[in-house]
Amino acid sequence: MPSELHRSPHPPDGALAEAVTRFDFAADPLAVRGALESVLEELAEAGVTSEDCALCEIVLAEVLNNVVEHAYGRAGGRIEIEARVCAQELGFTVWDWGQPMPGGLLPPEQPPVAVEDLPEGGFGWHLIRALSSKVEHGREGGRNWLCFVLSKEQKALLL
Amino acid sequence: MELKIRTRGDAVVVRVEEPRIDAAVAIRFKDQMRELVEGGEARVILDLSRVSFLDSSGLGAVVAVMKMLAPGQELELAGLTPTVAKVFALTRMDSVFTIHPGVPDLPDQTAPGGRRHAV
Repeated sequence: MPSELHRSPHPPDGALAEAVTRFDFAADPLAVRGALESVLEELAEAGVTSEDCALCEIVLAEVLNNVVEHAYGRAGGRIEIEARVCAQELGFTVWDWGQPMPGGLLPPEQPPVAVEDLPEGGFGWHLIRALSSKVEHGREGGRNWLCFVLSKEQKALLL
Repeated sequence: MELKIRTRGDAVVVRVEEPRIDAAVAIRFKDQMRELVEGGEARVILDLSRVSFLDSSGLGAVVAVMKMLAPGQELELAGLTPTVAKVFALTRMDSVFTIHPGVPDLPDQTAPGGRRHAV
């Protein structure tokens, strides 16, 4: 919906975050590894459980890989992340200055496929959607933003 | 990336000696595995016990390896660490592969010593 594109990238409870950290790094696979390490270090320092850190790493890795591959088409660029540790949840915003999301929409869920036709790609968005909520995105003045939230201690999901 | 390879009869065990199979190394991993599976062993056992993280690129590479196999060859996985196991479970890929908690016991054969393979 058009109005989503103009919504603020910061969730309403951003002001209640216990810890907010920003990261700035290059859009290449090795720099992404380094950024993931830094983000996880910060989360751990803010008391986030190692289980929750692992889930954050899974989602963030997919989001960042998408930026490197698709927003920047592997040509490189800059990525910024803001990580917000709140009482019940962990919020993230990712900014890049690359191409807009194709069609302005988040990729749809992939339908199930037969074993022989198993894709070698496309698992990324499934992982993002499985573990996070409130996934929103927009674009303002040549900059893409993507926000998502992970609930703390979401054990039930993985049963 | 560094892989340790052991052959025992009709099985080849490939232990990935890297902590991550991710976007940074997925293509290299696929290329190295392509060479290995051409050895034609019936069982290709991928030991992931040293791998603490695998993303969708890594998962895609493992699927690609499975699709590279000749008829009569099977890809089995072993030693999935917690985060890696989560990724397989969330994508339901854990029902597609035979997954062992550890590398299964293999017939004791006098095979040549293990070789390291690094590119």
